[in-house]
Amino acid sequence: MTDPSTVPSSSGDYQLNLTTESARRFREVMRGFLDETGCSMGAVIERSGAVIVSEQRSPGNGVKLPRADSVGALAAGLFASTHMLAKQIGEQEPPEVICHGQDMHMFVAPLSPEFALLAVFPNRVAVGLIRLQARKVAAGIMADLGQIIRNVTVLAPASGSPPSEERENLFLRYN
Amino acid sequence: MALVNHDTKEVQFKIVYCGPAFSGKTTNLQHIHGRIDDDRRGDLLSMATSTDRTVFFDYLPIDAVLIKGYHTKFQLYTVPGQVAYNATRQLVLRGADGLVFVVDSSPEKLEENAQALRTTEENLAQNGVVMDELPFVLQYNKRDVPGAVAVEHLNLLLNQRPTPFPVVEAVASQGYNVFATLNSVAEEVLQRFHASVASGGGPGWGVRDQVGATVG
Repeated sequence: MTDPSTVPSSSGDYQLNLTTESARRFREVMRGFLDETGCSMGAVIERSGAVIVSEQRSPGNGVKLPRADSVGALAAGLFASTHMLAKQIGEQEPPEVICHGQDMHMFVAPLSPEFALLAVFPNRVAVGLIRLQARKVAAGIMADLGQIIRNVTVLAPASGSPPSEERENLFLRYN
Repeated sequence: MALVNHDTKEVQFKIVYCGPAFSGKTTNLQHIHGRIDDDRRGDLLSMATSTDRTVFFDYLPIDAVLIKGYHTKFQLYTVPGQVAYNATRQLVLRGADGLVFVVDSSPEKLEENAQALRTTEENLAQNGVVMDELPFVLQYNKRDVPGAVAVEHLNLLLNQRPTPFPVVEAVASQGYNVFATLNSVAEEVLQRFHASVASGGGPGWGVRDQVGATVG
C-alpha cells in the first residue's frame, strides 16, 4: 500500500508516543474513512496488537460493536499468522486479509512494517471502496506514524520511579 | 512496546505469560479475569483447541492504577506451551514490555521447564530482545503438587542469571499469588518505563504534552 521505508522499522525495546495533535489528526482521518466507505469500524493497529486509533459507527440492526483493543489484538494475530502461512508457501506478506461473514466482514491491510489498517464493514460496503480509501488513510497518517516510534535505550531503571505509594498494589485492590 | 497516548491520557503495556505446556498460564489469566470488576477489564479471549489447549494465545485487557493523571492499561497474553507452536509463540512475544515465565513445580517437568525457558530466550532474541534486559518474573507454580521441586533446586536450574529474576511461588489454580506475580512484573514494567522517559529527556508522567515532538 505504501513504501515501507517511509516508516522506520523498530525491533527490541521501543515506545510509541502519540501526541494530542497526532491523535486528533488520526481520528479525523479515520472519521473521513468511515464517512467515505460506510464501514462500522476503522482502526490503525501496531503489529503487536496495540490500537493506535479507532473510530466506530453503529451498523444498526442491533449489531453490537466490539471493544477496539480486543479486535486489534485478534486482528494483529490474524495478520501475523497469515503472513507466516504465506511465507510457508513461498509468498511475501499478503497485501490484505479479508474475512467474510454473513452480515459483517473484516479487512486488514499493512500500512508499513509496524502498522496495519483494520476495517469492519457490513454487506452494503464494497471492498474496492475500502481499498481505495485505505490508500488515503495511509497517505494521511504515515508521516505522523513515523514520528511516534521512539527507540528505548534504557536497559534498567536509572533514576526516578513512580512514587512508591502509586506503584505498589497495582492490582491488589481487586484481589 | 509501551504505547503512550497523550490525547486520551493512557499508557498501554503488553505482558506475556510463557512457560511449558500445562504449567498454568491460562489459569493465571482466568483467575485475574474472574477477580477484576467487569468495568475494569475486557473479555478473556482464548484461541484454544476443543480440549482447551491454547493454540495461538489468550488475551485479557485490564485497567490498572492511575499515575499522575495517566490511566495505565495492561494487555495480558499467554503463548501456547507446546513445543510445536514455536512460530506462533514468537509472534505473540513481539512488542512485549514484560514477561512472566510460569514454571511447573512437578518433579517430572524439570526438563520441560528448562527447555521452554531456552526456547523463550531464543524467541526473544529473534525479535531483537535480550531476555535479561526485560522485566521478567519467574512464577514457580503448582507448589501444592506432591513432591514439588524445592525452590533452591528450581533456582539452580532456571535462575542462574547475571541478575537473578524475581521469583514468586504460586498455586494459580487456587489463585494463590497470581496477583502478586502480576504486581511484580507490572511494577518493574512501570519502573522501566518511567526511567526510559526520564533518560530520554522527555517529560515524566503527564507533566507535559507533545512528547513525540520532542523525542521523535
